[in-house]
Amino acid sequence: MQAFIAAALRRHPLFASCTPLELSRLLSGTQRLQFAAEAELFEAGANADFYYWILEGEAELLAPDGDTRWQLQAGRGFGAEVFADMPRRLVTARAAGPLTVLRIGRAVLRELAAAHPELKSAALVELAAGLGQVAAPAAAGVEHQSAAALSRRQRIGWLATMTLPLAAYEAALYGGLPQYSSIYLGLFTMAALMWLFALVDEYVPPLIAIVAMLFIELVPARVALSGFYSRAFLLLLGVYALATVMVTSGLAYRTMLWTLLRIPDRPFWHRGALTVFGFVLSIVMPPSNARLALLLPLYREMDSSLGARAHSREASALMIATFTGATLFSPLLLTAKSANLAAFMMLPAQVRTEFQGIYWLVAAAVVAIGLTGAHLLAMRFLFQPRRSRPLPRERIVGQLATLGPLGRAEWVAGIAFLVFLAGAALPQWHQSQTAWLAALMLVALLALGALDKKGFQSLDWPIIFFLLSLDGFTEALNYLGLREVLIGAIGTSLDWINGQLGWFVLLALLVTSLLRLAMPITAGMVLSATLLLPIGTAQGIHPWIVVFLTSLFSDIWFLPHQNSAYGQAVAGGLRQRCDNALFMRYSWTLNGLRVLLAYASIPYWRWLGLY
Amino acid sequence: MTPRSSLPFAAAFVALLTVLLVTFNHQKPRLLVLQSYSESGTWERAVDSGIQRELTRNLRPLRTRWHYMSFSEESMRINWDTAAQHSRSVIDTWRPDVLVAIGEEAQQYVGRHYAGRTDLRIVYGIGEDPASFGYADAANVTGVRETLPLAQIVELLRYVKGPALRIRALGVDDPTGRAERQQVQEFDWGPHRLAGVQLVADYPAWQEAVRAAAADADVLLVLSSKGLMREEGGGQAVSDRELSYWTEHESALPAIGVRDSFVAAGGALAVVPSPEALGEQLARQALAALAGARRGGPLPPPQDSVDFQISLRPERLAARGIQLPTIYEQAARASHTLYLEGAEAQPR
Repeated sequence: MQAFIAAALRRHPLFASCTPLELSRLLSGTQRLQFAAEAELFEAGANADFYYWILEGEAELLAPDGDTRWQLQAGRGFGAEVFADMPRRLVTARAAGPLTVLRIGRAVLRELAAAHPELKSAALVELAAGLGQVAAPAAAGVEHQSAAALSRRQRIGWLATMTLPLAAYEAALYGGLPQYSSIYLGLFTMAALMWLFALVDEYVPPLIAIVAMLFIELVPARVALSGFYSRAFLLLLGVYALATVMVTSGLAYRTMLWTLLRIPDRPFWHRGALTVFGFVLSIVMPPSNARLALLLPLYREMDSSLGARAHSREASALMIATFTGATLFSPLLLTAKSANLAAFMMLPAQVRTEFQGIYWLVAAAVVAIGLTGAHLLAMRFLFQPRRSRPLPRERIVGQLATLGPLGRAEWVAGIAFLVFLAGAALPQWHQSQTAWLAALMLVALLALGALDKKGFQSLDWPIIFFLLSLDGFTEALNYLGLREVLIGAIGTSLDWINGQLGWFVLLALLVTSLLRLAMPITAGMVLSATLLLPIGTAQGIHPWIVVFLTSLFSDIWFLPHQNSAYGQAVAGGLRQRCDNALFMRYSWTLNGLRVLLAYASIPYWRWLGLY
Repeated sequence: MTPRSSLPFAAAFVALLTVLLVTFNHQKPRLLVLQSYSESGTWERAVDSGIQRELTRNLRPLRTRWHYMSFSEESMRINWDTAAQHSRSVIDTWRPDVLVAIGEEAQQYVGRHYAGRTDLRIVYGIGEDPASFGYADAANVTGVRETLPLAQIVELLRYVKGPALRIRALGVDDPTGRAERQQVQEFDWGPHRLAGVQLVADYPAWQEAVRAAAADADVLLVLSSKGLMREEGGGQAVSDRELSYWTEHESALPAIGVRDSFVAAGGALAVVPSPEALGEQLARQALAALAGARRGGPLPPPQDSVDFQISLRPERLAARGIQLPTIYEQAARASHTLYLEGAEAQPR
């Protein structure tokens, strides 16, 4: 059946230019349906959720006036309102006789139309041709919506951004700080306010700050642009290129489908698979948002196939598994979080060499085992479904068949991934640094054509610039001697730590959590690490432990604005399908677990010789 | 894209930021470094490097600009009047708070015209007596006088030939040469004796002076030789390499230079005022002068240069039978001015 649907989709003129990967994804949202004569497919004014393609028989379309009607034969489509983002049907559709159609869901079509704008145009032409037979209803007219008014919060944010940095500058001068330190504090206040009030995209504030510093020559270019000079630049490029190729080649999607076919068809394994996918993606995909973006379509496919009741424990568990899979492993691998890569560059060279491979995960083993184990146990025992529903294996087989044999780009992506994985885990075999290995993978992908010019342009440049700008921003802090000012200001007030890691964990938790109230994860973690590293060093705490704690605690969140991945999950259907209260309770439980596991790691770190 | 509704706020923010940054730049103190020769000169590069090193340590926002009176080291005939006019135009339009003028020409053609001004402070870097440029009574002038390390040369002479020697100095008849002559003549050479200082205008006169020195001296002190003309009355300047090589090989007397270029180009030994240290010292003076420039704070007092370095070519020293304590060789190695066999121009 799936092969038949796949073949029918390939023949459809709208989908003729789709790649096997796109057809495979389309297949997940496509059903073959049969209707008896006179059966109504949809009514004028109803929500437009599906597009129809007639395989056999005849459909009749009726205008809302009840007088105008016309028939469509096999090989014709209708219901193109879904492409036009039009929420309502313009006509009513019935089966004129026995009717067999392909019904394609709006979600997969929207994803496809995003990559193929021409597909949307063609569908709109089809819709316009159909509308020519009827007078367009007034309700279908284009509504001119005025731009959303600026919220009060944003207004306050902009006004604060224009005044408070100047106040901070003056206050710092008044407090006896040198002018250069006061300027930095002014710029820091500006960036923090822009983050706090979400006035611009996350990557913009540090970029503004370093451009301002360069413009007035507050710090030399080698400091402000230190991120761009550093190995972090090529490491980020390489890792992001690998992530892009894994997705665009279809290898990531194929692997997930392939795995789903081979795991036991039970709820725990479905959820476990989503968690494992998240872990594997964490190796080469630093932003959790990117991992979630890749997992959400799979979640939707699984969710619609399993057909659990909305907001039930089973439906909620699937979303929780997806979200946790994408975010849980962020602190556990160097490459699993963008901020890890930025903070890694702050570590002494010797520590960088030691922790660039698998040793990061080894040192984080207690947290890794604790978090993963607790999550898997929760998935196994806390969210038992009333009845177990199977995955649509036939459809998955059909999707894999549509993808065909491994393509050249998939081979290249797979080999590059494995080489990078082996090289990062065991740097002794290539006798170089992970950053240069990532750069080698980048040029290999470019030379082999797996990453073409368009793919290169589609790398996540905003996050790359964000991290490199943050690097310069924090480097300027050191250059201007503010780190020493900070240590001096703290004075003896942290003597209670007395080199005890237990107390330092508490300090790291407080500092990181407080900063995270105002800042997004990446900025919050990098600034926490910047502030805590000198304190930790002075207290004799291993620098990696300091960075790891900031990474672990920066994942703690309570309010929606603190985690952009949550917003992404909401847009992906969290509130429609998942019990939000249950979801939040689960997240808060993980927050507490993170703190407990940090303390549980202390004896292990002592055993490793890190403390 | 910024949402349309927040555009007025965003535009106001960008405008405010731009105005603040530009205003700040206009209010930043300005420092102009004026060199007498070109940026490609070895000595000038070393001085610049010292200045930059010291400025890197400075965290106060500062606008710095470099200006060279000659475009390249190969400019044999510099039209000093034109170069001076251009330099003064740069000063008058850019309006620095502090001018660091390095070299005699920079004082003679530019710096002295600004002595006594209240809107500009001058930090000189010269070998000549600052009073000769009218700086003695000027309230806006301070600086560093580059002193030849003559005391260190006296220390060295004990290993060269003997306890009481006759010394003849040879240099070029130009402002730098005259400044060096003044220092050499004013120095107490005891237990040795200064046989005389000769400044020449061209290469034939130099060669003649080198040959004649053997008649009344035991050691030849080679002063700065940059810009020596090949022929009487003009033409091209003799290259460092030709002049040093010839002097080292044709002089019957051991020759000791006061510039690294003498050894780099083939000479055996030089005791040199460290140009990098001079640059650092000048920058420190300039930053101190800058600190009070706008509010009329006190100027730091003038200083003499204090640091020196050793340049050695062991192969030539051996040829003359001179053996120095190893500390000299190590000092030269530390300052990257130890020229080993076969290295005519490249220090190792």
